[in-house]
Amino acid sequence: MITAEKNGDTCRVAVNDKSLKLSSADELKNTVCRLIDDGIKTINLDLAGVEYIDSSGVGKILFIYKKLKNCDGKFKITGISPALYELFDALALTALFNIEKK
Amino acid sequence: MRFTFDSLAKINAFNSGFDEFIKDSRRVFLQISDSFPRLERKINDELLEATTIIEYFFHNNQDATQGITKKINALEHELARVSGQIQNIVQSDIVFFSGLLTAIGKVKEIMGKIGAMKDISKEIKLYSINSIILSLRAGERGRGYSALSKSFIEYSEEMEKHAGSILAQSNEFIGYFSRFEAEIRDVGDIQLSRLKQMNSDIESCFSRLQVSLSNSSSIFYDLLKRVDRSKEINALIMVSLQNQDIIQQQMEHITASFRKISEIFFRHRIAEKCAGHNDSESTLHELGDFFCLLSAISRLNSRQLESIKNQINVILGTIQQNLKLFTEKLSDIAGDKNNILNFFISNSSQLEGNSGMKSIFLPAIQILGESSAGFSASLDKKNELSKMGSGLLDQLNSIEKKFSLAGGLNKFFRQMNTIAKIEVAREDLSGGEEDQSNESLHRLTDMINVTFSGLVSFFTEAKRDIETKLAGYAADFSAHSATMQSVIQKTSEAKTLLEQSSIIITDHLTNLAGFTEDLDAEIKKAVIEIANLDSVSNSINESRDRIQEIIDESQANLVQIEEHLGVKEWQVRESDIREYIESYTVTSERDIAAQTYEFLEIEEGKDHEKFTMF
Repeated sequence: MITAEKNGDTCRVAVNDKSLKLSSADELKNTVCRLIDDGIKTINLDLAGVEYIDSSGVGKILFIYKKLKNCDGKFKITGISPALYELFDALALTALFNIEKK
Repeated sequence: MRFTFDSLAKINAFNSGFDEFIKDSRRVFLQISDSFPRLERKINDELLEATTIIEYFFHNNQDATQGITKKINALEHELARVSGQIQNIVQSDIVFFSGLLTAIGKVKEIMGKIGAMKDISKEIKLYSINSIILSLRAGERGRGYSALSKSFIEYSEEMEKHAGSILAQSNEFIGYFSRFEAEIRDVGDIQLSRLKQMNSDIESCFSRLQVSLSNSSSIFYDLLKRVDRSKEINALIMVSLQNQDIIQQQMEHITASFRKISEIFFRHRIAEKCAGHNDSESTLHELGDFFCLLSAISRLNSRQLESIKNQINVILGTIQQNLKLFTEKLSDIAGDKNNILNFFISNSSQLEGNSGMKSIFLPAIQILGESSAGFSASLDKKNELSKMGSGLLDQLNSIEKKFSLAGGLNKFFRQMNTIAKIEVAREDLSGGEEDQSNESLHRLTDMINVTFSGLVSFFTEAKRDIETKLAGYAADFSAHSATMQSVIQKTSEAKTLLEQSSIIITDHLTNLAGFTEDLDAEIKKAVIEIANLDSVSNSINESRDRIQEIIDESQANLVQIEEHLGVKEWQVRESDIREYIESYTVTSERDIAAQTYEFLEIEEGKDHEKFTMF
C-alpha cells in the first residue's frame, strides 16, 4: 500500500509493503503521477518497509526520477535498508539518486 | 389454391451466401487462430534471444562456462596468479637485500681495520723517527738502519695515504650502498604495499563487479519473466478460440438443414403443389406440413445464428479484453524496460557522463589501470636499482685497485722489515733503548703485513660475495623484469577486456530495447485481425434477416392453409424435430434446439398423421 503525506509542494510517499513489485509498483507510479499533476515538485520516497524490489519497482523508481527531473523537481529516497542500498549500489543507482540511509 | 413460394430461391440464396459466409468466417478464424500462436512464438523467440544475451553477459553462476562472467572469473584467477609471481619477486628482493647487507657488513668491518692500519702506519712513522734518532746515536753502525728508518717513514706515510684513500673510497661505497639499500627497501615496501592494496582492491572490485552483474541480470531476468508470464493471457485467448470449431460445425448444420428442406421440396414436388394443380385436402395438409417444418427449422436456424453471433461476440469480447490486458501489461513492462535500459546504456550527467553499465565497470577498470601504472613504476625502479648495482661493483673495483696499490707498498714494507732485521743483527744494534724501539717497529711492520694480508683476503671474499649477489640480482632482474612485464601486460589486457565488455554489453542491451516493440507490433497486428471477427458477427444479422423472410413467407402460407382447412394451430411432430435435433453433434446446439422446440409450442401426442416428410 502506498501512502502520501503532502506538505506544501513536497510530499513524502511511503511504500508500506515488504516488496515493491507489480501491483504496489503500479500504485506507486499512479500515486506519484497524480501528485506531480497536482503540482508537487519534491518527492521523498520512503522505502523503510521495503525488503525486496523487482524490475517493476526499479523501473517505476527510475520513471519517477525522470518524471521529476523533466519538471525540475527533486527526488530523494529515504529510509532505505542496508540490503536494498547494497542492491542499488551494485546497480550504480546510488550515483544517480539522492539516497538517505535508514 | 395457389401459394406464392419464393422460399426455395431464398433458401438457395441463403445457402449460397451462407457458404461464402462460412468460408469467410473460417478464413477469419484461421487467421486469428494463427495470430496468437504466432504471437506466442514471437514472445518465445524474443525471450530466447534476450535470455541468450543476458546469459552470455551476465551469467551469475560462478562456474559460468561462457560470456563475460567466465572471462572475469578467468581474469580474477590470472591476476591472483600474477600477484603471486610479484610476491615471489618481492620476497626474492628481500632475501637478496638481506644477503647483500651481510656482505656489505663485511666491507664495513674492513673499514674499521683499515682505520687501524692507518693508526699503525702513524705509529710506524713515530717508531721510525725514534729509530732514526737512536741509529744516529749509534754513529756509523746505525747509518744503514737510519736510512732504512727514513724509508719506513716515507712508506708509512705512503701507507697512511693509501689507507686513507681506501677508507675514503669505502666510505663512498658505504654511502652509495646506503642509498641503494634505501631504494631497495623503498621499492620492496612500495611493491609489498601496492601488491597488498592491489590484491585487496581487485578482489573487492571484482567481487562488486560480479555482484553488480548478477543483480543486473536478476533485474533483466525479472523483466523477461514478466513477459513470459504475459503468455498466460495469450493462452486464455487461445482457449477461447477453441470454440470456433463448434461454431463452424453449427454453421454447417444450418446449411445442412436447409439443404434437407430443399430435398424435401423436390421429393414432395412442393412447387407443383403450390401452383394449385391439386387442391385436395391431403395436398394442402402436405403443404401445411412443409411450411410448418420450414418455419420451425428456419426459426431454429435463426436462433442458432443468434447463438453463433453471441458465441462470436463472447470470443471477441474475451480476446479484446485479454488483448487490452496484454497490451497494458506489455506497455508496463516496456516502460520499466526502457527506464532500466536507458539507465544502463545512456550517458548520464549524474554518473559523470557514464552510463549505469560503465559505472559498474569503472572502479575495476580504474584499479587495473592504477595497478598497471604502479607495476610499470616498480619495474622502472628495479631497472634503476640494477644500474645502481653496477655502480656498486664499480666502487668495489676502485677499492680493489687501491688495495692493489697498497699491496705493492706492503710488499716493500715486508722486504724492508727483513732488511732492517738483517741490519740490526749485522751491526749488532740490538740491546738497550734501540732494541725496544726496533722491536716495536718490526712488530708493527709485521702487524701491518698481517693486517693487510687479512684485509685483502677479507675484502676479496666480501667483494666476491657482493659480486655473486649482484650477479644473481642482475640475472634475477632479467627474469623478474619479464615477469613484471607480463603482469603489466596482463593487467592492461584485463583493463581492456573490462572496457570492451562494458561497451559490448551496452551495445547488446541497446538491441534489447527493440524487444517489447517487436511484440507490441505483433499485438497491433492481432488487434487488426480481431476487427474482422467483428464484421463476421455483424454479417450474421444479414443472414438472420434472410431467414426471417423465409419464416414470414411460410407463416403466411400456413395461415391460408389453416383458414382453408379450418385448422387453428399447425403443429410439428416432436419426433420429426427430434430427428432433426438428433442430427446435431454439439450439445449447445441441442440445447438451443430444445429451447426452440418449446418456443414453437409443439405438443407431444398431437402428431399430424400425414406429416411424413422426413
